[in-house]
Amino acid sequence: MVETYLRQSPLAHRALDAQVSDNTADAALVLTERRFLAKVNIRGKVDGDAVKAAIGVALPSEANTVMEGNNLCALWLGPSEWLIVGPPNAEKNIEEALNEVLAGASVGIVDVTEGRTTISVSGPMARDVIAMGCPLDLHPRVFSPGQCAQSFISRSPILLHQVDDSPSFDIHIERSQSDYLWTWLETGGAPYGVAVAGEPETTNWRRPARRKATS
Amino acid sequence: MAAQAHIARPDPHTASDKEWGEYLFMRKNPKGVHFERWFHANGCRKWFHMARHTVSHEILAIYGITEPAPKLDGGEGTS
Repeated sequence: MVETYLRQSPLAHRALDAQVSDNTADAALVLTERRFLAKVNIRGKVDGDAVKAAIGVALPSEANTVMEGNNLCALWLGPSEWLIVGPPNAEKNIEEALNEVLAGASVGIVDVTEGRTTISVSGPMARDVIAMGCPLDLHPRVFSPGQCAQSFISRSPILLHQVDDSPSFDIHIERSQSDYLWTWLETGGAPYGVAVAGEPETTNWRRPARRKATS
Repeated sequence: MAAQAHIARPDPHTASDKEWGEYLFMRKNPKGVHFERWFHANGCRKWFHMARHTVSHEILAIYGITEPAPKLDGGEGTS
């Protein structure tokens, strides 16, 4: 983890907090930057039971699926690669717990928190807008909540995770490409209406905020 | 992305120019079963081996990048 006073999210220059809409319930596309979500990459031949005992979430063995547990998600990335995603500032504990339990094993455990950010995309047009730039088949009968896939959106490598069937997606993207993707999503959703939502509270980090105007 | 798999690298100190040239440039182009190296660029970014029929595009085997070619009924196609 970097020093807190130096820490800026890749989209900090956009001042997204100032753009947060009071009424995201009517927007066709709702965007949120999920700042500083903990991300730890695991690569190698891993003892899944030991990992589950150490951090409380099992590693999925089925391709392109996500397991949840202990306030963490484990995303399948490849036949011997996973990404653990958790609330902000959890990365140190996750990494330490994994290093302890997998000590001596031929496994790579890398904290990639600062290298990437996460853009949460939800709303009725979320699937359609992502599909404009993503070659994956996102039809609900093929891609559903609890699934993830590495792919591209408009040539930017991304990790797509469908969180629920509202639908809402988490897009994990390299830091340097996140501004491009944000612009692309805003532009793609512009004809239908885009709103920026605030981040959910850390304790409930899995739920995207979706507010209805009270007036 | 695909290319011929299981190419044995000759010893560069003892190989003749012809052997080295064949190692570098000459590739099979069979009509039939072909053993290939693939890279899953749009997904998990893993290298792996595939035995593929170049006519029917039938995928006969998928195996790890460090594993030897499996014995298949049809054998390797003729070029």
